[in-house]
Amino acid sequence: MGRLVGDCFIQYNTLAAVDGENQQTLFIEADDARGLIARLISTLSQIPDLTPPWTITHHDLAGGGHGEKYVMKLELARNQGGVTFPNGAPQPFFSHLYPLGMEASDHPELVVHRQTAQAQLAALFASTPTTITVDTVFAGAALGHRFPWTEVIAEFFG
Amino acid sequence: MRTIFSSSITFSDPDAFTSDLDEYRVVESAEAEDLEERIRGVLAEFTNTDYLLSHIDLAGGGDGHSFAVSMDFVKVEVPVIPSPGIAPAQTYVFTFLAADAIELTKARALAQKRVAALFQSLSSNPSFESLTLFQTLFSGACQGTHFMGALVFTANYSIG
Repeated sequence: MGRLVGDCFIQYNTLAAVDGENQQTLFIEADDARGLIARLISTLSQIPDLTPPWTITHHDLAGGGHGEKYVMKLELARNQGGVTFPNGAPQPFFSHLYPLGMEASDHPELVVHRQTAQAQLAALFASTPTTITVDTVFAGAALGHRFPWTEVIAEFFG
Repeated sequence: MRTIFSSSITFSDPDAFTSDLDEYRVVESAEAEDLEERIRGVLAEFTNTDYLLSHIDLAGGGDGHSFAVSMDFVKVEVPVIPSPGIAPAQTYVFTFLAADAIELTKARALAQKRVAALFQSLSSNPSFESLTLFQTLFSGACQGTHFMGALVFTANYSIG
């Protein structure tokens, strides 16, 4: 199984690699989960398809307090120019990424949404003979407002 | 809480919970630079000891506008593989603070410049080989205030 995000280390072997063109950070901001995922897909689609490809190494989410905006942070890196992945190379994500975003205000609603997401994952898994890796992050919520969470899902072949 | 080496810590003896095998520290601040300084203070406390940093996490930024970093240190008198953590003396944490995606992008880029400066500084040691970004942390924000991010690095040295 390929590695996706989470505990995926980026090693900088040269000074040029630290401040070079083979790593970047994306911050994506939206007022709700649906908007966050739409912007994520749009942002990723604008990244050129290069060799070696960009991969997601870290996925974080914050915000949602007082019903306000969410910010997702993605660290991207490429295995080139002094940048390496010491605990395993992450999988390229461009053509096999299925981000999901959800939000809810309380525990019962969270459970229902999570079950819906599980059903989507099950359908995805049933439709293709692949392995699916999921990375989930969760954030929120102050004064009874919303808890958002996002999942970055990739299918791996072979 | 995210684990630095994907390795859980197992306590096989009830006395372990009350012993000095596991130490826990929390630092708190509303400002990135001050938080970073406080983290350095904790890391210095465990430098030249048998403790490794096994967990680190960031939370907060709510109505109190204060962020907290929690750190777990595990005592390892005999090295084991896989290691349950990283050496405090070789750990570097960079924090950044901003209110929206555009400013966060700028703040993150500035943090990366500071990482480059660290790399250059460490390069004066002939044993120094590389820096590894182990973990990124991200938290905040309530009432449209601020998001805090943190980058956790370890320096790698050649052995012998």
